[in-house]
Amino acid sequence: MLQIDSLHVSYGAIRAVRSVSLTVEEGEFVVLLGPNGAGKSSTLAAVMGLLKPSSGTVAFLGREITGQQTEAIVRSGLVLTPEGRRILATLTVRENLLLAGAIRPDRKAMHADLERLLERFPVLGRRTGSAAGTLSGGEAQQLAIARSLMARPKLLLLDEPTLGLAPMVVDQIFEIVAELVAEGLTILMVEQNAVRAIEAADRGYVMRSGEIVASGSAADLGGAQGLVTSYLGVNRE
Amino acid sequence: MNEFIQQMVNGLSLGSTYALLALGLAIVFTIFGLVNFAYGELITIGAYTMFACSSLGLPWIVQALAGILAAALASILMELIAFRPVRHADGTTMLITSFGVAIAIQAVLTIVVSARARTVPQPSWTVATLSVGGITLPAYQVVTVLVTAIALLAMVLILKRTNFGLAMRGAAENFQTARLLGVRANRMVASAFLISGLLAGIGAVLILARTGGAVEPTMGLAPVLKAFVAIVIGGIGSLSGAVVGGLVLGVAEVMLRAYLPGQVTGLTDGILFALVVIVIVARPEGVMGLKARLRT
Ligand SMILES: Nc1ncnc2c1ncn2[C@@H]1O[C@H](COP(=O)(O)OP(=O)(O)OP(=O)(O)O)[C@@H](O)[C@H]1O
Ligand SMILES: [Mg+2]
Repeated sequence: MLQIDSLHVSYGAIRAVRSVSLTVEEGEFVVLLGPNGAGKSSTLAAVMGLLKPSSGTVAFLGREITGQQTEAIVRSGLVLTPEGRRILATLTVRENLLLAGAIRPDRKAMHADLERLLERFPVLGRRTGSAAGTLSGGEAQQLAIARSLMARPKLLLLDEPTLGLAPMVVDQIFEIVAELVAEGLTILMVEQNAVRAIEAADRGYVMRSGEIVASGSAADLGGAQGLVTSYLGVNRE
Repeated sequence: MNEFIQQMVNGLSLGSTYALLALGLAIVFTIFGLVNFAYGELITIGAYTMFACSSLGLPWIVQALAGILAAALASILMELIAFRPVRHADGTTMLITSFGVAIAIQAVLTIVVSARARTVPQPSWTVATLSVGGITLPAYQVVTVLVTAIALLAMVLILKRTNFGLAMRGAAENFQTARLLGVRANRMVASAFLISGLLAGIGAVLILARTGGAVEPTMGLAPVLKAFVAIVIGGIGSLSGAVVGGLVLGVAEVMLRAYLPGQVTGLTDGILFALVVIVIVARPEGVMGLKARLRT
């Protein structure tokens, strides 16, 4: 479904992503792990057309999307829930959802989805008219996810959805992700809780200093111990 | 008392013109991250279009509509030709581009028309007066306030009630996030310039009604400066702040002119700009209390 091939991303002299290749098949739940500054968000930003890769290609649903406008990529069904949630604070909760749904031609179904999401995320349902800037971190993350779902994504990219949340709220987010996976949504998730993420996922990639240093299932990656090794930078090959 | 009310209406009329112009400047700023100093030349283009139409003997209403449309069209072209190529450049580059566009338009008008001021004859109602409860008010002032109120109301309805307005508010808060929700960047920027141009055009019509129809190539400078000051007062990046800032500025200007001792009325603008410096120092986020979101 998603195919990233030898992707390079630079910020001036900083080469943040170096020759990253990864794939996500339809129905899969894949995680992208790695320490701070590994280049995970930069990879997602390049996929979404927010950054221009210096080389490499990205294909979605068999069609190359490298260099396309972000909004065109979103409209084709590839949706990012960005790092730091990026809620539109001056809009209400409902307006955040409506704006995300506005790209859909099926307005009736879109409004029905909106009501369903407000039931599914009761904290949002109770605060539809509040400015989204007044939500707590956990609530804002739920809004960020619900907002992405409003676009009816075929592939959802989640960038650190649990960042800065209290342990109980982290559990809640992991539950939501598990539900989405169970419903058949294809997900590529970046996550700091590496062990927990790889155990929930079908498989994962580990990135360090801009490169993919390991990949495979939880077992392939050697479980918790293996991940620690990858993270510390001892190459297993 | 009557005189005070008359001055107040005069202030509100000038202030509402500033509010309209400031809104046009602020819309492009919030969406595009540029204080477009060539905005003044959109006013000039609107005014010169009216001049051209009046030379052709067309009725005033046609002149006014043509002026507004010309300003809107010029605004869209300005974005396409001058600003789109430097969209991803830094703020300074865009700012310098806007000065370049302003100078180019002034030069063209100077060469093609004349550096001297010309006059667009104004319809008789602009010099008529209305009597309301014993208070005599110039008609153009009342019309200015009404026209501005209608334009602002239309803006509020568009922004609050339509999907397009929702997208525009989202894009104003964070352009990149809006794109991640599927908002089409090019269309949004073009729309911001279109609205900006329409407001500049309406502003041109109102300015000519106020000044008796004087047009000259540099006539856009004073309004764009006032509009800029208004958005600074209101809090740069805030649309409602721009409107409030414009009203405050207009009322302050008229009141200072009316009630300052005769020897110092010439200093009105100086005093206003000094007040603005004080506002910037005391409340850098503007009177509406919104944080500046200057694009880097
Ligand atoms: N806008 C930027 N300008 C310059 N360098 C940047 C920029 N954004 C990221 N970088 C650098 O690129 C590298 C990769 O950053 P990136 O944000 O992609 O990492 P990450 O894996 O998502 O990290 P984290 O877990 O902290 O989110 C880092 O060295 C970072 O400092
Ligand atoms: Mg990151």
